[in-house]
Amino acid sequence: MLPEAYDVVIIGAGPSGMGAAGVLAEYPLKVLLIDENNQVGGQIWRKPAYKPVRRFASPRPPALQMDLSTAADTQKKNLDIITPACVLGVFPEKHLLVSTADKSVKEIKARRIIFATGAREKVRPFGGWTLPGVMTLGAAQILLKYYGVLASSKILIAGAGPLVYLLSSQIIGAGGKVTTVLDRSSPTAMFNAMGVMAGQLPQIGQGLLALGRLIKNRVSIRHRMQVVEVRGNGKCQEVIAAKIAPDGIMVPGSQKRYETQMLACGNGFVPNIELPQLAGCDLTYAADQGGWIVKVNRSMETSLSGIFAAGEITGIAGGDKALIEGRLAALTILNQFGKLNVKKHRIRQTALLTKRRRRQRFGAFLNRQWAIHPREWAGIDDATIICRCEDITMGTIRRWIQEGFTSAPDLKKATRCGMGNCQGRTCAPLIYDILAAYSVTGKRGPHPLSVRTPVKPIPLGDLAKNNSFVVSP
Amino acid sequence: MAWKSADVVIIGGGIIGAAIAYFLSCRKVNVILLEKSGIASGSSGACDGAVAMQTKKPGLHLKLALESQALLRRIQDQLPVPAEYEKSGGLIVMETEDEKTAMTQFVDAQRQAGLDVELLDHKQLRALAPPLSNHLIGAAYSPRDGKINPIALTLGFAMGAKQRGAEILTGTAVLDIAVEGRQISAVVTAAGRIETRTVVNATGVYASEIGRMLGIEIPIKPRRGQLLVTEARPDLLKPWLGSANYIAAKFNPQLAKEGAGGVSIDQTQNGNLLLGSTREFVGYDRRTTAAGLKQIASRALRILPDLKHTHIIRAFAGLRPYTPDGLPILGKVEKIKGFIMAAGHEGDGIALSAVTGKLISELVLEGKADAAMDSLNLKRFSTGTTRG
Amino acid sequence: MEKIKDSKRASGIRIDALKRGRKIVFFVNGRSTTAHLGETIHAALIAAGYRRFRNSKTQQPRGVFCGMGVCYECLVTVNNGSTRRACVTLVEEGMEVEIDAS
Repeated sequence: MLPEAYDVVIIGAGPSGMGAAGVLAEYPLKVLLIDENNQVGGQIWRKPAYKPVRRFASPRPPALQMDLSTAADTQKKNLDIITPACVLGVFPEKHLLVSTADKSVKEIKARRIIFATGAREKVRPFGGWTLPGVMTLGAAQILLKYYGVLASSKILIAGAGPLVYLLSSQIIGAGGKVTTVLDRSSPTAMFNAMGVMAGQLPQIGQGLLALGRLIKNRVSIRHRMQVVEVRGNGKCQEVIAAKIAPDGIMVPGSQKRYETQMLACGNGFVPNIELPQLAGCDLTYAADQGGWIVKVNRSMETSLSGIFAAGEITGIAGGDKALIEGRLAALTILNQFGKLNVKKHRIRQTALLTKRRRRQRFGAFLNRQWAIHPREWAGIDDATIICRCEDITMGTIRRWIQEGFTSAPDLKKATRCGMGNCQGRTCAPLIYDILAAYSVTGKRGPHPLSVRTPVKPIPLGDLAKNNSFVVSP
Repeated sequence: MAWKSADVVIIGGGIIGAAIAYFLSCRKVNVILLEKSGIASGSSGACDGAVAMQTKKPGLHLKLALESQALLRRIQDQLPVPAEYEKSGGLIVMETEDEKTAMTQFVDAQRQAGLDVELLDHKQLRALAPPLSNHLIGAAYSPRDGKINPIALTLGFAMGAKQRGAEILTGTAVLDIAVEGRQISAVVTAAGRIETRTVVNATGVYASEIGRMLGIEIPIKPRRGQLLVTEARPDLLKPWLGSANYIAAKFNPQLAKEGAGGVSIDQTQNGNLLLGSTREFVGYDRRTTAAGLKQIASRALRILPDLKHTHIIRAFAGLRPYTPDGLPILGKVEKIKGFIMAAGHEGDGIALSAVTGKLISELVLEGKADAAMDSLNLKRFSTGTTRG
Repeated sequence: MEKIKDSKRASGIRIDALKRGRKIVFFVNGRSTTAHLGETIHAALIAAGYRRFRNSKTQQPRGVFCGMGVCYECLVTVNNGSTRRACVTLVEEGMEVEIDAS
């Protein structure tokens, strides 16, 4: 039975949420940590569904990773961990509407909220990206790491960023074959990355190990190559890639054909800002931090007093920054509750902020790698689907932009983009990029799609069930 | 130095403003439509698509609705965006004998006013719409009720107007209306001054803000209605559906009981079901609420138990422009020459859009209003008289 | 490192590095299919060689895309009633899964 009121509710149990929980659990505060998945860990700290009998998903995870079993078993009296629990809505006075595994919907009150909702993957669309057999890098990784299922014996990997190499290495380690890696970034990007990552030896080591394994297994790595089309009879059967120059133009004659039944691709991440947006936190649009992010101060507090945001939602920069920010938010709350004096708080905060700045620089570098030049957007075919839920094409979007519908909410009304089951989680980031690429943010400026309760789908029967609701407007 | 000029400036890019722009542009009137945000970004983009005659008060209200519906069906093929009009029929379901008594009277009045509507018993209702709950004792049914896509219709009117020469300026709020003597001379926006002698106030729930610029009191206030959207479920319910309690709560508060409560169900051409609604005076707050969601969910489930496992994929709230007598405010405002009202349609804006467009365009072109329009004039509030 | 038998069919492959839950049987369009307790429907379907789960609004084939419950592409019908995301729904003994592979 879920008690109604908590001192702190942490929404999301990835690195940022767990970082916060780890700090708060040491103090006599009533803390609730929830996650919509069946287990803690978020996306990058997922514990496999089964016990590994031998290590297969090497290289070793970074040293900063919290011991998940310790954290998860922390059944201290003051820390409740509920998974799965999905927050449907946030209301004034820090009331949350939460649906839990028993299909009940409850209202929970908090004195402080930490939004630690993480990120989701982004894919640069191309003809045929909706075919079965085309999935994100994360999807392939979850299947492998979490369920021990190789999506296919041979997989083609495409995109940019560390996950391209990490996943490829994990597939090989598990006995699968990576036919080719199509890295859309430049060959020097990897070396530039190491420069930006100075001081983060574990990550550099991890990256080099992954690369080493690919080289050892003679995996062909092609740079500046972008998938431009996938073809097949109702499924992925062949992939066409082409060289994209730094100015976004496809290099003529550079097209190459690859036969494959499984393509895993990814080009960056999008912050899950829906809940803080619904709560009314100020957002800002920053292309080099992943798009729409939550504005926070050095103490990780948002524009709403007592509401905090930590991790990818304040800027895409990876798990380490997320962990640091979770801890920063927790420390601020401890200070606010009088559990940590100003001096001690400042000392710990300063140390963490220094580490945070380094990670933010790396994050900015990564996000710039994932940027798509306006000319590249212009080169995407009219027939390419942009909104997968409603099958809305690039051509339809272009037409309405030309009619003067130059904000995401206006385009949603005109095209139905964002009205499907995923509520714009897949297409909205693409729409924001397309609008920015066409330099038509319009008089209203960049605008995110609006968010309303419920932020995730819920069966009507669960909503209607007879639960005690505080009738708060 | 004027930035632009127009014969008519219409303020408000919802369905009413767009419809008026369309009808005026068809008659070659030079129109500028000003919208502070985006086309259909307000109430017209946050409602269901019922074009229901059964929900209109017998009398002028119903008469206008019937005319509007016929007009819509005639012109929809001329609009550049398909409006998805469907002659779906409509049901007002009854759960108790009290409701049946009240509905019998209402149906009588409707039939006398010329609407073809009949009462179905339990068996007939189940035959017409099998998924409906077994406990329903019957329904009022009119084959004349229809459904449409309100956003598509608004876009159709707007783009149709644009094709016929209207200029549409979105992201353009009106800051002030300039008057010389008692005659409108220009509309002032942040982007510049637009010279004009005729302004149509089609701003719905914001009508009173425009009125304040001219020192005119307009008794329109926002009344929030929340709607749930389900995942697509093809061909579940063809007719539009309301409950007897829903109609009662609209017109006769005594009949609206706390316990049961009204609900509306509209299945779109896309297959999603729109479940509504609430009637709340909460200012301009467009958020959905836990209580509102739960209320609509439990009521909808009572009427359509089949929805138990169907997912609500999102919800939204629209603001209905509410007037004290439930009728829109149309026509010239005597105090200021050139100022025309076209707002206050409450929950009937979609259904009445076409006839509003037609009547206002005739008013602009011919200068005089007929008796029907006259009784909808703003002046009915200052004199304390209301017509129904 | 294990050797994987190369096959023409794009079946997913269960690697042997994990101690899986109990083997169970569920049904895909009436056809009995093995899985393990603890697996999601999508993992079991991919391991069994299914990639096409349903058709989109304009009847285009769809399958797993994001694999983490965000995109709603992997929808399948479960036990004759609810539409569920295959990637976040655990498979159960005797479960009836309907996919639209037409």
